[in-house]
Amino acid sequence: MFNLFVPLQVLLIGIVVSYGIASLIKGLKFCVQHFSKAD
Amino acid sequence: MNFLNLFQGISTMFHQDTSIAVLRIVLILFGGLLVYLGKKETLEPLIMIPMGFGMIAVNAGMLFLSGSHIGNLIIDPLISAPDELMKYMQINFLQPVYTLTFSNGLIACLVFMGVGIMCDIGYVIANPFISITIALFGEMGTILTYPIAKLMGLSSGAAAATAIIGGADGPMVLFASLKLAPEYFVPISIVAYLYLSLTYGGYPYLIKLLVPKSIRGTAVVKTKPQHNITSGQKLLFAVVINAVLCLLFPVGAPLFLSFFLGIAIRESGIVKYIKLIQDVFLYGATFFLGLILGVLCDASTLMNPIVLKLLVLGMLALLLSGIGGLIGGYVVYLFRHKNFNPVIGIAGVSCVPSTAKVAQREVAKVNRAAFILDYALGANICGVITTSILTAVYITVLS
Repeated sequence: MFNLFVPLQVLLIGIVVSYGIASLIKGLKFCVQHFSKAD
Repeated sequence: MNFLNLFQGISTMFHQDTSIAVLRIVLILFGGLLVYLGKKETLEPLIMIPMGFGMIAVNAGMLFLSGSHIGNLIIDPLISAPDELMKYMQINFLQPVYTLTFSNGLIACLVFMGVGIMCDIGYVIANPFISITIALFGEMGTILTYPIAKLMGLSSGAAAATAIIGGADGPMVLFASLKLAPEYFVPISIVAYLYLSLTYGGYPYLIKLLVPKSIRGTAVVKTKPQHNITSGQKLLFAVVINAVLCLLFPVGAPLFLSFFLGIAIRESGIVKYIKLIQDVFLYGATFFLGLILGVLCDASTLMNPIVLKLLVLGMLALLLSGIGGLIGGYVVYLFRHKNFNPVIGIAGVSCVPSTAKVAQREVAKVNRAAFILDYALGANICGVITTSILTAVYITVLS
């Protein structure tokens, strides 16, 4: 049971951080395109 | 005078355990095979040719050192006492390279900087969620190998370092094994690089097995207009993502810094730095990496019973990641109403840029008009990012 705890923890944190990074990229992309249009 | 003592490479074989002597001969022959397979490009020549040469030299060039101690004048990876280390730095010709660049992770970071220079982050920015999803599926081996390794009796650190082979990033495995299982650093690194060079030849079979020909040639139709991303914007992305990841996982900061610095220099367009990193750092580090890995393959080091387990687990990790990547490809294929090619999933395993090239090559064999390299490179680069994240999480959780 303990053997599964570490990889599950790693997977969960990995998913949250990875999708966090993807959202950050999407957000930055939106801002950059929005402001470059405004220019 | 004993005639055999004149040729100590041979005479040492009669003074060693029979199994070690036999393994030395096997490794000399195996080194020759690696050089041959490198030349034929069945395995990665940049690593395999220096590695094969090093393997031959270290197993042939054994001699009697002080007393009856048998060793070589090339490298001794097991020295840690400072006085002894200083002495051997002046005797073994590759000891300074090993101690000052290999065993502290510098060589891994230099290779990673070179990987960064090769990566166009624009592919990730174009489709961040698709790329990250595939890359996460491509980490299946990194996650599932850990409990299997624990069941096979490995310590937590060694199990995690072995599982990271599934991330298919050599520098990351070096870095993780240094942090998590320094006692098995040598065998884990050797197994990782041996298998990583096999992905180029092995994954096409996995693709053919899991993706039917009718789906393999699917062309991806771009439904939304693609915005042009400038180099300044890419640089901004690299700076922000690097800062966020370093903030979250300081233990992985050397890897994040190296990778995103490579990307930043590429996007800054500083030609002299690009040439320095691409032509000098990357090739110099890869050459010494291959050579050091080869000379670390001496028979007595590989007699460790853990090597057999690592060989099984390393293969399993890469196989699971390959299967996971293709499952990820299928998930996106279904999610996008079949407007996606599941073969792109193999690129999520990382190993930049080999797996992306494999994906494009296998698709082109079925449909020459299908161009999927942009999606594959996006997944490929995200594979590096997700492996860095999982490595950093493993190190943080286990240390």
